[in-house]
Amino acid sequence: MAPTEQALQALSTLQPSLDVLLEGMLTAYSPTGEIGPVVEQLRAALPSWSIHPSTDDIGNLVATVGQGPVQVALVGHIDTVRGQVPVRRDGDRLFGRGAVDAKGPFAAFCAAAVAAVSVEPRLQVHLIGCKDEEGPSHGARFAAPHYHPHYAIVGEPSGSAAVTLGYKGTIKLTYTRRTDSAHSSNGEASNALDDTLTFWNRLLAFHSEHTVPDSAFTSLQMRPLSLQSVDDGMGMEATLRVDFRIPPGFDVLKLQTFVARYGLGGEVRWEGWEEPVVVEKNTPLVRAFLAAIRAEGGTPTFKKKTGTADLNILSPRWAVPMVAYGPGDSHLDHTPTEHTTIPELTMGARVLTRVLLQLAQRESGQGRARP
Amino acid sequence: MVECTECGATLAMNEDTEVGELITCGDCGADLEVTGMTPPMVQLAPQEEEDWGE
Repeated sequence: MAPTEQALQALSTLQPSLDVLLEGMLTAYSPTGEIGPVVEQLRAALPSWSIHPSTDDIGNLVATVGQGPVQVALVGHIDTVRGQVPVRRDGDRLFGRGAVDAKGPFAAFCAAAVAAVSVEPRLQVHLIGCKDEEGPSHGARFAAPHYHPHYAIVGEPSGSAAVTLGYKGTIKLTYTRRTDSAHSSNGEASNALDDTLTFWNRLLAFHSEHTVPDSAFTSLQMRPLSLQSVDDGMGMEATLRVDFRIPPGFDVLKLQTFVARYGLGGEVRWEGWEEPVVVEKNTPLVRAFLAAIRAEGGTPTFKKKTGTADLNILSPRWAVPMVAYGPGDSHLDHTPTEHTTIPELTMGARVLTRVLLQLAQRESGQGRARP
Repeated sequence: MVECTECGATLAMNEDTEVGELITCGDCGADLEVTGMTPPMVQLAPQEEEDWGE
């Protein structure tokens, strides 16, 4: 039997099965900041697959499978957004918070790593289950300097036949305007709320200048997060928070300069800056995905997403072939009906297994050396 | 050598071309994916789609 077939057979005979492992992960509800339950669940369950995870100094769940020279980092996240979705099965569907974002992809990572390493000694797969991805991404930031992989895959739900090549960047603005109180019949004096709304209208005009028709990925996106005002009789204070999604190639300094110039003297604070990322698609890693998806009967597509992921953080730091990939429909991210299907989960794990084997084969006479 | 699926132009494949590699037709500019080497085969490269979410 060919190594690929051996590995896929190993995948199909895992005990517990992949879907049972994921069901356990979903039952261990773990919103950001509270990942203890899923860490304990995986530390108890994964030794059955000969994976012996530990936690690093910040609390990520980490394990290395294999000791070969070809190092591949499989970086998932095991925190979820809040909102418990009752874990249940309905036919092929498995419901639960994190089924697609992103416990499903991480479960597939673990299964593929075990299956591929069982037949391929040249692999060394680093499984990194990050914390806080749905928050400030402390987990990925901590992990970045501790690994030096040749290839990396970030676990997010692209769908088993698609590969995600890009994410937009993000930055948040907090704008605070204060004015002295004035009688409300005084039409001459603007108050803090007036000014804040004027500022918002100016932002809308800036935003429309940087909107590309029919392309959210290449447009500047802007959304108000909150608007509050307080009047204590002596003065009024208004605070506006805005979330910007930054397209590749957009100069964020231009936005900051606009805000400084047309902010009507309001206090400005910027936070949460993440650069947009678009990875190279003609790499050995992407080639391995295209071949693997086709071998599994799929028709591959590429995706660019308007959200952000740990790819934004890790790609500029590692500077190796990277993509985001994982089974599941990302349209179910953060929804009360979040679920995956067993065939989708299985296909994702099979594609990943083939990809890992292909990357290892490049190190031998069966493939080319790493770029 | 392989024929472009879009315009029929003949494309040269390097010795080290591999399956999954993306190449561009010099005549029509189409992006093509190498889907086989023995014999050489190409088809239109995967399309890029925009999507929301993570």
